[in-house]
Amino acid sequence: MRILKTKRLFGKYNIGETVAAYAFMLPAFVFIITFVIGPIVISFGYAFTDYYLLKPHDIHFIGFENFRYLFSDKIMWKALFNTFQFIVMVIPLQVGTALALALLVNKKIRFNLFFRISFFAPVVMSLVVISILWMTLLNPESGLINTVLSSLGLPKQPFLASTTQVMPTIVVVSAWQGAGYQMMIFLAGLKNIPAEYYEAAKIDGSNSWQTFRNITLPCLKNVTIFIMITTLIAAFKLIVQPMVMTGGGPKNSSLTIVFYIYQTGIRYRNVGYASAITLIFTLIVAAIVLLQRRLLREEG
Amino acid sequence: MNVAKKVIKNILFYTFMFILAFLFLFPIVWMLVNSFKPEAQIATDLKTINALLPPFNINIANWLTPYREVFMRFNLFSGIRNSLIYGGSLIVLNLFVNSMAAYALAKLNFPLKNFWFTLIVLVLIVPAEINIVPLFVIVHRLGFENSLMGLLAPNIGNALNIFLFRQFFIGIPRELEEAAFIDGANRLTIFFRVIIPLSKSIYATIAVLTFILAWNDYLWPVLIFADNSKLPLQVILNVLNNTMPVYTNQVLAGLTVATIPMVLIYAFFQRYIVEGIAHTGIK
Repeated sequence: MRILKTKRLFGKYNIGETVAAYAFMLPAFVFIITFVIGPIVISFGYAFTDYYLLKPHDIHFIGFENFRYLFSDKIMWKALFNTFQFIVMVIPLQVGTALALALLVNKKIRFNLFFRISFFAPVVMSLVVISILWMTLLNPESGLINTVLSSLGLPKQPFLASTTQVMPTIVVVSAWQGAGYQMMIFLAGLKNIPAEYYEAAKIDGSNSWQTFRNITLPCLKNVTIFIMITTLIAAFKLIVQPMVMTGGGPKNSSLTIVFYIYQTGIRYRNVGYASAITLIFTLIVAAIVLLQRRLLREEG
Repeated sequence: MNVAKKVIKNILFYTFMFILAFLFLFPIVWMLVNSFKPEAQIATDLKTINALLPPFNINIANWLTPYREVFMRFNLFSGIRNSLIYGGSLIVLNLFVNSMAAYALAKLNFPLKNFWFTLIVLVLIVPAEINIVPLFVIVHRLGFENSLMGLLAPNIGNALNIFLFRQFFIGIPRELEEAAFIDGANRLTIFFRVIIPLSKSIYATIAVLTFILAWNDYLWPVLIFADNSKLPLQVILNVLNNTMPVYTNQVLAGLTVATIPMVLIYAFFQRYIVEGIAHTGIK
């Protein structure tokens, strides 16, 4: 009877192997379920409550109250807008730069190693380090950038202190840091293109633009898709640069959605409302990433 | 004529390349050389090329003065120690836990295997930073706040690492395991005696990437620690950039101190890092 039952339960599976597999997976999945999937799941629950961090025993179900407030919350819309502004600017700039750098150093040129190291150098530094460093460089009064601008006879710029310049500045700083990393991924992709393709193109008399358009670009398609998706996911979670450089200012013009969630939930301890924003934003991110994946895969 | 044209083309190309390299390098050069200067000299050098040159006017023995000062004013030593402990313990736990799960997903046959693997892939889509508030609530309720356990716990199970390990393990031929199996070895023995020795390069890659992640981490430590003596280096850097009076030379010295270990790691483990980048990129 017992044998029959296990047989039915496990079908084509070997019991010993199944037990071993689950034992092997147990530690990792305990951590992933508790600390990665758990937060996503409980944000669904908390989003419908007035959970205040210091009062864990005094939680009330308040229905869609948080979501109703969310739609009229001007700061939330501002933060969402800033996040999308960042995404729309950083993806073409950073991925484009990375591809250009990869193509430049992929050729047999002098000082090749020096150029590769130069472009990759900012990757080695942490987000906090580059944020503080650029804060110092971009200081409106005593920064290196403005000193150079004014000695060239150009007007000084407020950069991080301006509501209109702050996001583009953070975009440039982020792309400056990240492009070298993606250059390496593009280089790995370029190395995988068979040399025969280029030889054939040469014999056919194709010029360098045609070769790039018809051979290099199509062969890099999968790498480009991967880089676009990872850049998108990384752009959604932007928080450290504004947190260190501007505190979200001036006038919330560099407040990103993750930073707003952080402020609401941690600084103001309004876990219920922060969870509601989290929930909505998680759905937006998942939908856009899946959509982008599908669109890029289907194209040409 | 043709030769002259080629020479001009070359000059233009290399000028362009060096300008490009300069754009990537000048902030780093500025950080390094000005970390050796007295505070007043940084401002006076700013208008000339001296901004990007080391302070030749100063006795080389005094170059490290800003470093001495910043180490005296701030808890940089304790920050470095805490960051090393964070990185070291995360490597051990992370490699052990994730490679075991990946082995099951790569090599064993069991019910719901696809479900668990899909879960891993889905987790990769939503960045953990978005769920930081509910994560904080969980850690807070488990009582892990302000402790090393709280710092480590959310980073131990890592979906990306499971994915990378699995990808590598799949490439190991079945026959090697079967030979050991016939000799009477159990799964655990096979994992430790056959799989791990064949996978040293992926272990090295993930160990290096994990250390970099821990060393550079800022958001999570700044959130869970109330206690100054437990703060890792990155958080201390922000403290030193916000504690009046702010001396630029001391800030730059702090930034340089935080960057040197990363430069060494990238230089020594270059092969593994490039391999890791290529692995994650070409799928």
